[in-house]
Amino acid sequence: MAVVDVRGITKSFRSVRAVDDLSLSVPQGTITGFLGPNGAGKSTTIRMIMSILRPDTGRIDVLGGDAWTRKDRIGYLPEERGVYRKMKVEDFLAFIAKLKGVTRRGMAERIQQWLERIELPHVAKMRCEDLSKGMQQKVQFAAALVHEPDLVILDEPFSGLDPVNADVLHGLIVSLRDEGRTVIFSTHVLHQAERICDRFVLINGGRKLLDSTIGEMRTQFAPRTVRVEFLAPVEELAIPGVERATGNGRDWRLLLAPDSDPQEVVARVTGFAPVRLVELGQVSVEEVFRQLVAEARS
Amino acid sequence: MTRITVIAWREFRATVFTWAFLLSVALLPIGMVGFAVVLPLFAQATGALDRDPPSGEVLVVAGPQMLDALEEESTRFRRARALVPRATDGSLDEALVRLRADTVLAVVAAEESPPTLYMNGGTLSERNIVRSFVGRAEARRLADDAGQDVDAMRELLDVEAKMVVLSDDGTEHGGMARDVRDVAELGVAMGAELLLWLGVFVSAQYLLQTTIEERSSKIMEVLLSAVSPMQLMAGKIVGLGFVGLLMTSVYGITMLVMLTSLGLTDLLSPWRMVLFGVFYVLAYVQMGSVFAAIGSAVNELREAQSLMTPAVMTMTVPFMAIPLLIDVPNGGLAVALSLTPPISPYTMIFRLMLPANTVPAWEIAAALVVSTAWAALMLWGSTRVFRIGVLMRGKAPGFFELWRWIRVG
Repeated sequence: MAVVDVRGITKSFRSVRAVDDLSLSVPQGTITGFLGPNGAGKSTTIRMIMSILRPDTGRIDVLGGDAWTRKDRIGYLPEERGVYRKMKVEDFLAFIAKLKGVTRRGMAERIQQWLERIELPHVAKMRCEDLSKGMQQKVQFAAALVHEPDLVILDEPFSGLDPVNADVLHGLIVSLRDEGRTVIFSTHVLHQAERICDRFVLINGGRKLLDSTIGEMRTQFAPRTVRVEFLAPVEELAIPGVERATGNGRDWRLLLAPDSDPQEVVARVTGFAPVRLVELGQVSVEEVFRQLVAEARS
Repeated sequence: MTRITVIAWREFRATVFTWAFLLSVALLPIGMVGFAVVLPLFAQATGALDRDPPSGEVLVVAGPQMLDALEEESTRFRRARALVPRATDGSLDEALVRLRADTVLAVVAAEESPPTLYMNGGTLSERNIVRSFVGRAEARRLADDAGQDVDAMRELLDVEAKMVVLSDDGTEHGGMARDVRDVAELGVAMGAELLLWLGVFVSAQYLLQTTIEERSSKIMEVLLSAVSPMQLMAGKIVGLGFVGLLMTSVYGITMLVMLTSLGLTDLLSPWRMVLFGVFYVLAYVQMGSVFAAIGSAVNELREAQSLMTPAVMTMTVPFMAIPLLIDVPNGGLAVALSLTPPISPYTMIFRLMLPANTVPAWEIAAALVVSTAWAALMLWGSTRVFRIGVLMRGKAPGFFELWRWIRVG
């Protein structure tokens, strides 16, 4: 079942088309990454899903209905996020929770539970301005989740976090998926997305370039590198289908020509000289992304 | 509605429960108590207000008649009792040398009429007393020359008519009592207009500040994930409106206490206070919504100044018009200003709060209609600006850009 169903949305700001005829579908219980360079249209798309912006054309269904009527079931961490600096952490979280329709009953326990989940159990009585930047970001994360949403949308959640806190957040996002919630997050840090996402939506120039799972992507995009370890040193390596060969002696890395078949190249390498190891490089999200963006630009 | 209440309560709490606000609200009543009670007690206890009259010698050059007149005046003119007139046989130049050396307080050259008074500095008060002293002495000398009794003439000149002022209800007031009442009536009208302006402006200023703070602390989008821009703006306007209302109530009660202490509670009638409340709300919505919209569009208070200037300048018009309205509160200018937004509520409150004045009912109704329509228009336009402004980043818009937002918002 699709938790988010976007059909042909377009959004322009004056003469700039930020999102152009974009359609996508986010299945329930998945972590879906919105990937794209800065200015690709990720945040605009997310704002439209959140009904903060209205699309010029197209339709968006969220949790089976209009996004505006489902706001209380959505948790949102915007890219531009902050806290009320003078407020106590518990008051801030209670305020956001109330805005999301949570009643007073059990509020304190709920807040404490989320503070423990973000590993900040002791900050409830502290003012937000007394927290470090990283701690504030974790509090903002808790604010997005304190009302126990079914759909969680995180815009660049890892930006500004140190590796330790990024790992905490990573674990939380995975646990949200394991609890049956659907998570969408946008990032331009591609290796992070590769670690965590079940699905990817690649956006560039407001248009969707790819919408698939990691498995589908690896099937669709053949590996472009081959690593070879020869038994004896090789002085020079010239094999048809290889665009560039780098290395010396025993270890070589081959970059395949665009139209070459990896299996044929492997066969040619093993015929060239005795080998200890031949390994087809696994295509990374980053490689796919670069390739698709380059194609789109050309 | 619940969400608007949640936002309103947060705004109210965050603003009111601070030392700065509590102090600013308490300042006026404390100040008034200070002026009315503490200051006179302090002055009495310490003698701080007892100013010593000028004292010293007043040297008279070439004027025996003037010397006699000055001596006579020093016994009759209370503030000049410490002045001692002395004759000198020397020249004016010699007398001025003594004046520069501060061995005498003043020198009077009495060869000609009127005489010339010389002083070496001194305070304004001292100079005025000595000048009066010498002037009175010259008047006495001239009267003596003419065979007239100057003291009798002064008594004649001080005679005033006994005054009785008739009121509409047939009662009679002594002139002095009526004067006090007139001043109090004017004070009530001006005080009410000032109170309206103060409450509205302070609340609007808070709206502007908190909106800018929310933008700069990047909390806006978090809020917009839960509420619409309209709900957010409504919550802020309601919450900070109550802040202004609280402040206005404290000041209003202080005013009421003062009137009670003067026995003038009849100057305020319940229906006038109800109308004050209605015009207060309308004036606040007019200005508050504009300030909220400006706050949503700028990055810092400095950028807001240029956009606020026309609104603030317009608000000075009703105050500048007060001198023109005092004597003709129902004249053509008064009616025109009462029906001109956005100054309509301020002018109308001034006219309504003049207890002796009766504003025609149709004018009150028309002012209410005009003010309500203007408030609705401001709210509509401001909501459109707010909706776009809260999500905009970068350079603050100018007036033309704001107009474009209103059209497309």
